[in-house]
Amino acid sequence: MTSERLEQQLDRVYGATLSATLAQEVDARVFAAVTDPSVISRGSALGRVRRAVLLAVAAAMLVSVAAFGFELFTRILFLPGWQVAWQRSVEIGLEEPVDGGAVRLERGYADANQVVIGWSSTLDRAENLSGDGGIETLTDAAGGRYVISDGAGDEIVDGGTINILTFTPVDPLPAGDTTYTLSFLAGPAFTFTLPVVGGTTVSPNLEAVAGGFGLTLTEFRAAPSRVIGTLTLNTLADAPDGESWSPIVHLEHDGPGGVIGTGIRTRDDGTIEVFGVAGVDDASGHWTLTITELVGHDGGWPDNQQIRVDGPWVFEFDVP
Amino acid sequence: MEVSRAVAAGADDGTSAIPLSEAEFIGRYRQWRDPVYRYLRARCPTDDDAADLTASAFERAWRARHTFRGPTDAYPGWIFGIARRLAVDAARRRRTAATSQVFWPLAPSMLDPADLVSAGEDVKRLAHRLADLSDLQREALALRFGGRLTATQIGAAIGKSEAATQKLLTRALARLKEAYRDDE
Repeated sequence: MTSERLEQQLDRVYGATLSATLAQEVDARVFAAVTDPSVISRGSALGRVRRAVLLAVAAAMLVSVAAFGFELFTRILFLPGWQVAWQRSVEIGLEEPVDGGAVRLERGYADANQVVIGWSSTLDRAENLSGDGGIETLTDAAGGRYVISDGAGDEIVDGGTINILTFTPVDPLPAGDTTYTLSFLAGPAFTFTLPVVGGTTVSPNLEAVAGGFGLTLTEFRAAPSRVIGTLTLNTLADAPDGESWSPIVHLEHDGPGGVIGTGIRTRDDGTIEVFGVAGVDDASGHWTLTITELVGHDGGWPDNQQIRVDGPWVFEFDVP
Repeated sequence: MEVSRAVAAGADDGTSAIPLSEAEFIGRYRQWRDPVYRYLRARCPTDDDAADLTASAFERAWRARHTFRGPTDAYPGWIFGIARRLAVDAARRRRTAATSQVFWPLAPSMLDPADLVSAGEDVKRLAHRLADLSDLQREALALRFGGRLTATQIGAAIGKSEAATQKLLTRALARLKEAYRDDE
């Protein structure tokens, strides 16, 4: 046996893979430890200083805006990708007074596909901060563009709200620290820095044709909290008349991610964004994106008729 | 917030004089979680046990982060040293003497299912040969091929010099090759 062959076999013997389920459990434990203020590096002088600072901060919180608990937010983390983001988030801890209360940015997380921010307020209704347009904006120091993608919130029994806001970067975010500014249209603006976890971007440029439509998968971006595919739709001569076509999507990964639940969004430039509500730590492996149907309507008014076109349009590609 | 905090008060030798910040710790956790798990998987009977020890290793590292004073490339030796001590403790709790550590390199989950049929015999034979190595040789191989560590990093984890570790690895591999030759 050659040395190379022996080392290949040892690589396989010792090449255990941490399953997605176990990885989540490990992550949850470690991030809970990191974010637990009672867990302080024992024995160090700095630890004692930090303990004193924490006590002072805790005392200050009694008269300031409530800093809501890490666990409290789990009640509004509806998507698996949000849960991952929250477990891996870092503390922001900035607060600003507003009319009638205060707003606090609690924690944040960013990867190539998504910026997730958890914030709280002592206001009864968080939407008071968003102005009539109901829009918050996110910018970064490098001029990156972001589209607000999702959000959730809940009111706290004894007053105040907890909220999750997510933004999708127009271009994939590179790894590294990034400074952001989050602005509430009818409220304060916050500037803070988050460590961006990178992701994997590939350009499959695969086309599939069925039912009079050509669909092209131009780009696929994978990150821990979300995966995003970009599709362009080409209407061929034999396509049925209709508009506002949306795909029914099924996404599979032969790696730890398995089958990933999906959503869709039509972008301003007409491309279709297919996103997974969960992400992957390791994007390598074989991916299959299947569009089983296109659903549109005939544009009629007032009797708008739905049109369904059977596929499938199947895209299979490998990520190294 | 800690994210923007630079590693301050660094000594001239590049060591950190303050504990790892939250962001620094998480960055290293992301980098080393899977290698630590692979190493521990070779030391534990089940996936669950290895995952449990992986989490424990990083929890302990977070609590003890003030003890990490090395340059960045010393971190793997530090975290694997913690993982190794946990594995020894766990083995002891399983009533296995620490001096006779048990390795579990045959768990099916370590291989792609497609590999099991074709590679099953090879792997079984290799496992038998691993059992003939000394505890320290198996430890070094688990750190090298499971943890993907360099000889320097392995040495830091097991308390040996780089040269001694390199010799340990070389002899372990030579012994395995020799066993193969004997079989043939």
